[in-house]
Amino acid sequence: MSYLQIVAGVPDFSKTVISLWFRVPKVSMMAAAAQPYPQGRLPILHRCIPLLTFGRPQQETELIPNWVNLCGPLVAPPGDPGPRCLSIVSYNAGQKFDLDPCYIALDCTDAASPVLAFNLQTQNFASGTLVDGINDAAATSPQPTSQEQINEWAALAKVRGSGWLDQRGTASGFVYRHFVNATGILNLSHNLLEAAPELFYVKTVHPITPDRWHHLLLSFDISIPVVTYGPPPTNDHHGTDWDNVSQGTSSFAKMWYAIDDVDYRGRTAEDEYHLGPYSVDHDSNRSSNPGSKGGDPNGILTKAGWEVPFYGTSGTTRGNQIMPVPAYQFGEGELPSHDANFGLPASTAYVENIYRVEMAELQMWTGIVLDTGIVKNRRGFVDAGGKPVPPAEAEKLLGRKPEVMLHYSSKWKEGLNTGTRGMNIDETVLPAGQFKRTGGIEAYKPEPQLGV
Amino acid sequence: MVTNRGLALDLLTRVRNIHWNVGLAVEFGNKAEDAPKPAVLTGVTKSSKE
Repeated sequence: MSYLQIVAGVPDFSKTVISLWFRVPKVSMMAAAAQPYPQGRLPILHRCIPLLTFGRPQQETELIPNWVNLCGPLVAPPGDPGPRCLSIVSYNAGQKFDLDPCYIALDCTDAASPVLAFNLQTQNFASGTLVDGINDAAATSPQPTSQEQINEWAALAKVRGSGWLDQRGTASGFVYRHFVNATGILNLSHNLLEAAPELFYVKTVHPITPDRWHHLLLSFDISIPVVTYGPPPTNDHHGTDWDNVSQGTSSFAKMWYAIDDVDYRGRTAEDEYHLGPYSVDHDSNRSSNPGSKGGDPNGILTKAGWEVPFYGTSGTTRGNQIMPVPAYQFGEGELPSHDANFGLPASTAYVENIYRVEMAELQMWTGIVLDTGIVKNRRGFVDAGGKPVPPAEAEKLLGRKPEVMLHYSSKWKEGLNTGTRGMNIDETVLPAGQFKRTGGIEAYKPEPQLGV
Repeated sequence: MVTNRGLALDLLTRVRNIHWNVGLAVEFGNKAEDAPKPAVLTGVTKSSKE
């Protein structure tokens, strides 16, 4: 495997502009797509061809639920349908497992149409309440002694906050078996949020053709807090949904990208989300309200933050309890990229995931963003004929040189970063900002040009 | 001494002149023989900048 890496990484950042030309052979795509699909947790960079990896490795803690049956034995005797009221009353911390690094990669899960994916793994945790894991750990459940009692309970079940009838099917039809007295809500949201550092993830829609040059212009700003909330309670006890995730989003991060000089944002005619799956623009319940107004076409949320408005409260309401409005906050979107390998196409830790790829013309700025929907901005990187433009054009456009730049194949082969992290203005080399090369990197023809 | 602006313009002019005379692209391999070995300079015309 051959690769380049800045061993010390780059300073932590939350805003960036990245321009990269890349070309992926068909055989690499087929090899990545052929990775076996394991049972359980997916391996790192599963079926992905990395183009860039960075960020200190993060871990998630496995949570092992403690189930109890609030009405009787946890395991019912054979043939006995109940009463059963299973609830998670707590979690035990299990093993820690590795999370994917920050990456730009070609996701080959769909072998026929690989797409670019961007993984932005932070090291920070969100806070929130009733995000998930809502249970009534103190519910009790008497069994009926008469049909009159069942009738009384049926009436009681219509009183909000009282509880609900639980029923089990028999050969002769449904039979009410017991009534669950709701007594409170156990909110395990903080356990869930504290188990996993937050991430932003975008899987694009536009397919990447093999054996052709492509250009990616990517920019994002995850310094903006993510604040989401569920729908307000209604008079019925079934909970509610938003029509669109944006209705439950008061603050969100942003991403812009262009592939092959085409800006992508919002959704396709088939309602595929260019900034999905955790897009602010996502319809959560469009079937109930077709044509609902969408959200910001460039808005992105963390996975956990997106789930709050997406799932609403329908899925979390237990019986007829009055549910508080779920709320989620995340305010520290920064990528932990210092003292962590910055690797092209991947760093040492992910060397097994490296496939044969061709690359050219990497430029990366941090601390600034660029709207890729503006043609003038794209012309700083790709000319109207689909060829790369000299880096000085982008420098002029953005007002300064990039922090990381690999320009000319000779620089790639040496790993010579001529950006400001790698070189002083007098062109003396800054060793900490230079790439370390492993393996052979060779010049490649044809030169980058869209469609070639 | 040059200012940032002067240097940028200078680079721009020079790069425009030489842009298509140098290789831009490289290939990363995953063959076993790619394990550490010196880079092979093939098909690259060195520019005046270098």
